[in-house]
Amino acid sequence: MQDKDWVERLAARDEAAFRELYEAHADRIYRLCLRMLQNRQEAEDAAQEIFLRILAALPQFRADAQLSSWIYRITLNYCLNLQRQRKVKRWLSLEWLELQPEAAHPDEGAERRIEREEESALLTAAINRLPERQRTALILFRFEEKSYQEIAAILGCSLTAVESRIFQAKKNLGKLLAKALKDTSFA
Amino acid sequence: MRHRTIQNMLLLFREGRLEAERHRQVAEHIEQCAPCRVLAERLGRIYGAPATDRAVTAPAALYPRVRARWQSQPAGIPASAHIRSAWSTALMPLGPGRSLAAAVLLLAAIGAGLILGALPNEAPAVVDQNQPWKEVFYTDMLQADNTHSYYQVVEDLYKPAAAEEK
Repeated sequence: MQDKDWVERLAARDEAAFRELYEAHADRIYRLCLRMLQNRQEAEDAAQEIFLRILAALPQFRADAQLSSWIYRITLNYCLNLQRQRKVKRWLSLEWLELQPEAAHPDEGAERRIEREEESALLTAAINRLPERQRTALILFRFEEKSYQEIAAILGCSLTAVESRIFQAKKNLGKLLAKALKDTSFA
Repeated sequence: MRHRTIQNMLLLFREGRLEAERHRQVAEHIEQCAPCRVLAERLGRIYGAPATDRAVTAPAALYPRVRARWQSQPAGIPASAHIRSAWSTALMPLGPGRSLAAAVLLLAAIGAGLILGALPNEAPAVVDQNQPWKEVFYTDMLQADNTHSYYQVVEDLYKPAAAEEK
């Protein structure tokens, strides 16, 4: 369905359009909220508010932009505002570890699974310590698998700025991870 | 180069984001240095691991919650009634009404300060018309500095007058 069709059908309170919009975007909105907020309940509450904002703002959506980019931007802005207001913990939430699905690696042994979880925890903790702009750009690039062009559209900045933010993010992430690995005698 | 300098560049090295000369230096180093080589492999594995949260889906309870809220909202409400952008949140953290009231109060306080600051400093009420300096000076000195006695103040005040008479 064309993006502009959503707008017209939702303006007419079309239930089917609402269901389609929800199914098309709910998982990625919730996943991004979860990654940003690292708390299941907060992520669910945030996803609900974000959907309502999207529905309310849809009449203002410009058809020249991509709907998914616009939705990503609303989601990120909402989560970042929430983080600033609530001063969300920047260290690793234990709940985040529980959210890692075991089914993704069904054949691995217990030892490797623990090691992978520890590595995942290290990566998340290091990403959480990055400056906000670098963190958001890296999350979109690394976890949402967005291209630089898409990230530029979502964040409303130039391609050069995206390149710079991701480069700096990787540089800082490398330092943080190297330090964390040495401190925990991983290496 | 020192180990720490190399280690800080290992992720960029693994990602092929270093300049050619730097890349060569790091490659040479990790070829000879086992701990840095192990660290580089570990960093590459951690950063390159597939994102496990791709399998995470929105909870089933979310849909009825969003739907119920959407249905309870009257149709045709302008988006501006619901949306507060990052900028407006940053500029008006208390909401538009309270922020405006706070801004008015702040401006009034600044204005009052400017007006009061522009007024001439008037001397306090004088008790003795023949010796006006006494009350003024005595009060000021006591407030400013407790080490001056009333008599020292009077003496100091007379000194210039006595010199002029001579």
